[in-house]
Amino acid sequence: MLVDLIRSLGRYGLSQISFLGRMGIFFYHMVRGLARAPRKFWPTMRQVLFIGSKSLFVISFTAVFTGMVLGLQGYYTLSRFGAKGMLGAAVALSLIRELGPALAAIMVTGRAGSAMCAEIGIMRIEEQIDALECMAVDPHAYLITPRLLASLIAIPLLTAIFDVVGIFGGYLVGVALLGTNPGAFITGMEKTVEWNDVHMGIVKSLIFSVLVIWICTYKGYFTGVDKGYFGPEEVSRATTEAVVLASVAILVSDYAVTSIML
Amino acid sequence: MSDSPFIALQKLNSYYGSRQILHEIECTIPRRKITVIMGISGCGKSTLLRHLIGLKPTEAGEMSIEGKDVGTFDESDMRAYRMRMGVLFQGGALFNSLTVAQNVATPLKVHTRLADSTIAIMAAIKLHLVGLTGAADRMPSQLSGGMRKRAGLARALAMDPEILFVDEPSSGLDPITAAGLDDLILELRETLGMTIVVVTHELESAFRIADQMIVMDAGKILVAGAPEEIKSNRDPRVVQFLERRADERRTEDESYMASLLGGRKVECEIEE
Amino acid sequence: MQFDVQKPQPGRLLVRLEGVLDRNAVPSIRKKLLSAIRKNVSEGGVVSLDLSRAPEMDTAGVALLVEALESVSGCHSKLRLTGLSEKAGRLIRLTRLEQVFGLKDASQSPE
Repeated sequence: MLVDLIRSLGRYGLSQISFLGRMGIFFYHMVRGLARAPRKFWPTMRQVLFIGSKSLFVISFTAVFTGMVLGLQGYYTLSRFGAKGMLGAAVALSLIRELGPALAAIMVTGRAGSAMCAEIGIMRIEEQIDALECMAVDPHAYLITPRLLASLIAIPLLTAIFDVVGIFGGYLVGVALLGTNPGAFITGMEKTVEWNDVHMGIVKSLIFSVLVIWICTYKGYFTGVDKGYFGPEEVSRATTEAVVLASVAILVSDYAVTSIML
Repeated sequence: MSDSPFIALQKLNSYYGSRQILHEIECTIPRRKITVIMGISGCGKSTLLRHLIGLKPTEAGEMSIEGKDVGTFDESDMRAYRMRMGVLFQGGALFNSLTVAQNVATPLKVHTRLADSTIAIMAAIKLHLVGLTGAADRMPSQLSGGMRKRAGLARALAMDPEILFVDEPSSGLDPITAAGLDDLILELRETLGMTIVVVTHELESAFRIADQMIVMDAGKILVAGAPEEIKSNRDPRVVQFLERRADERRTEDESYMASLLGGRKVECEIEE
Repeated sequence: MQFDVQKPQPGRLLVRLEGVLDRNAVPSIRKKLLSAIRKNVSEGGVVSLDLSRAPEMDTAGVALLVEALESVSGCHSKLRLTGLSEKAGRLIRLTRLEQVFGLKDASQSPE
């Protein structure tokens, strides 16, 4: 019994180590593909369009409600301290520093990241990735690099849209519904939000874009490879794993980045 | 040099995890000949193919291409080898987001500086060769299985390879298309002197095209040689394979009983 | 890979190709070759491509010949391939273009 337990623990440990090692090598190949970035212009633009068109609606939608909730909660919390005038600042700061980058990245994971993982997973099970290798085409540079570049462009932009729409949502509830002074809302925001806050949001969204693409394409790329079995159900498994792992990674790294940058 | 084999395997052992798939494989792939690798499914022939096309790494000393050890290949050596080969995968492995013509053009676009119009003509030539002229602008999802396979062959031929690997050319094809594919493989060998390796379990097509045959069973080479030699071979496994007899069922009876009864030994007698 | 152009008589154009006509060589000469043909060809004329010093070709070479044929027939003139090596002839036959280039069966030398 005990031997079995130790053996399975060891096996688990080994598989985790090899997983991390393979992910590291995958990251190296992904970054190395950037050397040929100029030739990737059109494929990258197509991926920007893909990420943007997939996620824009859902991001605006979540953003407006996130802003509205922030406005509502902020109003009642701040009014306890008699600081209703700070509502604009509270909404804007929490969106720009925290919720905008994290939620936008999670939404992109759910919409575009999962689709990428499934697309690349299908390429794996249909031997298309093998075919690329046999054509002497580096599959990392061909498949992953344009997606990485595209997410580095699209996710910060989507984050900016999330912030703006979210602030609008907060304004809607705080000013139009609950009757805060509109001037106080805007000037409070203007006075408190500094370049440092925006900078933090941008850094976060860049880190998240790398994480999303790294994890989602990695999971798709190695669909079924561990089992040596390349059935369609492996694609759905890989996609689920990718979304869960990427979302967790975003939240964990969010904490890490915040603690480093503060 | 022209008489030396293109690829030579010496004592190739291959593992998947801790399971050994191939045992001490020794064979050669001669130049300008069609080599057919045969065997029932699960005999290791697909794994052997993956070694030959460099998708599964080989240890040093196990496989050499034109006398050079593949185990010591670095990235650029492997690239150079792959530029000379074409591979047709079982399902065609076409890229779903590209049209058939774009699929055929992909290796040319990546590896050459040819003008787009020249590439378009070359793709059209290859598609005509496999009889798919009308399907150039269709997406892979709109093609039947046989058409996908032929489009995959057109793409494998795009770079005028010296060596062509074909995985199960006739599986899932109707007999007429399959025969057409066999004819094309023969024609490529005859007119261009291409070295061709075909992995298949279809006996009829194998004997039609083979110059050399390798029959595999359970990860080992059962017998290798010219088709006539294979036909006259008296090894019971070879004869069984050639005569398409099913494995005798009795061998599995014991484990079958065990699985039914949860491993308990039961003895039962019938009294009359 | 190189080529030179001669005009032996009005209405006739002789292009002599030399070297290996493969996918590495074609990009460097394609533009010049096609524009040389287009510039010098006259209506109803004959363009001869002498391939006797270019016995080796691959599909890219055949595709270039097809493009040459296109630009020639665009001017209502004829293309003639001369000095075609046996190997190149086999490739053209394999690609089913023998009719397009007016090649006869394998035994006859193409003119």
